Amino acid sequence: MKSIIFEICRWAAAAAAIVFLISLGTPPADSHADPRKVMEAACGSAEMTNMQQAPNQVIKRIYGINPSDYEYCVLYYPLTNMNVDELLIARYSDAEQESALCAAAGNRLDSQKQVFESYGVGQTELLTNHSVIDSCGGFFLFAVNTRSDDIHEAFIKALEEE
Amino acid sequence: MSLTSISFVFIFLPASVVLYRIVPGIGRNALLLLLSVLFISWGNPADMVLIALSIVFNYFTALELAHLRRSGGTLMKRLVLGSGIAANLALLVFFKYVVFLLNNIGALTGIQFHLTLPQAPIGISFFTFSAISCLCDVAKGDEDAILNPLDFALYIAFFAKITSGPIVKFREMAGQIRQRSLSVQSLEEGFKLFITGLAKKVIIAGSLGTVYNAVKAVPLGSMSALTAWEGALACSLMLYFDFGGYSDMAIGLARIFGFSFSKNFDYPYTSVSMTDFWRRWHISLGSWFRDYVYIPLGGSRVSKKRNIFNLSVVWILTGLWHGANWTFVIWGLYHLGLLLLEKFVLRDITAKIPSLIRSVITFILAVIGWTVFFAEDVAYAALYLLRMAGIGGSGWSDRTGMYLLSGGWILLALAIAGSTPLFASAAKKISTLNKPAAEVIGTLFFALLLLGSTAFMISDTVSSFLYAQF
Repeated sequence: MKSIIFEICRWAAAAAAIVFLISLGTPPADSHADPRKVMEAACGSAEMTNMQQAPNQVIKRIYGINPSDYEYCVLYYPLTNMNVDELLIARYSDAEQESALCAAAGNRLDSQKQVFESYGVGQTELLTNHSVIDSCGGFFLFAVNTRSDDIHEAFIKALEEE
Repeated sequence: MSLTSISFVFIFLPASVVLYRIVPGIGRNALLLLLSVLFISWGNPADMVLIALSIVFNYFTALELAHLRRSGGTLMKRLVLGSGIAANLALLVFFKYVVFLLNNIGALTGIQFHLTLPQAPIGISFFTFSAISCLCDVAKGDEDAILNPLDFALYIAFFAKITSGPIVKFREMAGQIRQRSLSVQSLEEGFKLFITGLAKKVIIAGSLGTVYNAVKAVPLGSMSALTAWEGALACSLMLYFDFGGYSDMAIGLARIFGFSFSKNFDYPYTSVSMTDFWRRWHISLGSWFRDYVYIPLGGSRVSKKRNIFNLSVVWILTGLWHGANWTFVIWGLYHLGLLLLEKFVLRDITAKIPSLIRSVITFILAVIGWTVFFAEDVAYAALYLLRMAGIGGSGWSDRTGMYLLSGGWILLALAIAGSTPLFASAAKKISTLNKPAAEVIGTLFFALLLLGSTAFMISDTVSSFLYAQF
């Protein structure tokens, strides 16, 4: 009799854990969009003249994340140190990667604001009013650009496409 | 909450100690459990729900195992133990290995899996191993008395050890949960050990991390052997001071509350062989694998072939325990290879080599292993090892390497000295010369350490514990 009670209790706990895990792990539906097409759409809506594609080493240095940990992680960054335009799109596989990207982008934004706040009025304005950080359906976006709203819109639209 | 946060060191810990002293003996375990719940829930309350469900599952499994052992149901006992272990491992696999498995299946089959998992609960590798230890000990009869549910929960969730261990076996802690003594001496020892660990982590490991990050920022294509070795040394010493420091903090915390945990590190970089190294590095993990995997598989009292198989299982699992990446598997296999060489091929030869030279060789071999361990992927590890061998990049030495060396050699030399018993034995000698003076100097020393560590914590240069991610 004791054995049966113990069995019921332990498997009830296991079942509760599974239900809890399912409730935790029900994120917004994953997008099946091709990451390259998402990037193309975002680039098509951005002012790209001041930007160049970054090698992985640069992503590691300025964001502190390792691009090879991600299925897709591409950054466009300024041609010169006096520009602040940036566009980062990444495909993450779990919540941990998602929060790492959010933290990295947040830190980058803060540090850029600190760099330019005392003398770069235009840059500070861009960083404050024309930046976007968003994650949706397994994709992450960070953009600082005069057309950040258009980039965001294009990003969301691209995720809806198969 | 992190053990190296200002809020933990200056609010949570002092408040816990005061409350622990005020609360009568009978309520102390309940208080520690309450504090542990608060500690775990601080970062993510969902973690506590999962840990609580794991505790309930394991508590009833342990009760059933104890009941079956007394009633003699051998087959049923095996089934219950097997299902208990499987459920714990399933939780670990779900959070740590599912994405890795699917990525590898995807690479083989071309099928792309898009899976978003919730964040793994704090200390999952540590509390699942603690739970498995409990089930095995109870099934074997090594620990007969099952604790009450609150005390059992304390064994799993005790805030001193849940983040990054040490993995204290159930049979070693159960008795202490039931009864432990508390003295001014244990409080003093605990605080000293905690502050030492804090300083190791935030001052030394943090500074070494700066050197390592500077090396990592150098592109592999233009890295010289000198730079690569500086990076390898920095990451090896950083890991020791990071995890060794954390272990000191955890053991010190436990001591403050009257527990006595065995040491987790015993100057591993002074080891005279890899076998010796693994008796001194992350002792609690090595001992866990020995007791719950290696020995049940037959240990070394079997044929040579079977022994090699047993060791292979242990080292592949040890590699994988550290993370879901092929670099960890390769790192495990590298150590397996070295241990097999020592055990079956080089035993007679190594015995003739002076111990100092053996220590240096062992240290270099460990450093080479850590470069694979720290690499982002296998390709990076292979290229990094080539750079260490002076192949490709900027040759043996370049200006970057010399620049990094000029800025970091004092730190590296001090860290190497600090990873030996040199400072500890010097402090011991000084304390025997003049006891009252040594006590005053000692108190000042620890106050300075705490002050220095606080300065580092405030400047927010402290990274999370490296081992917390495993």
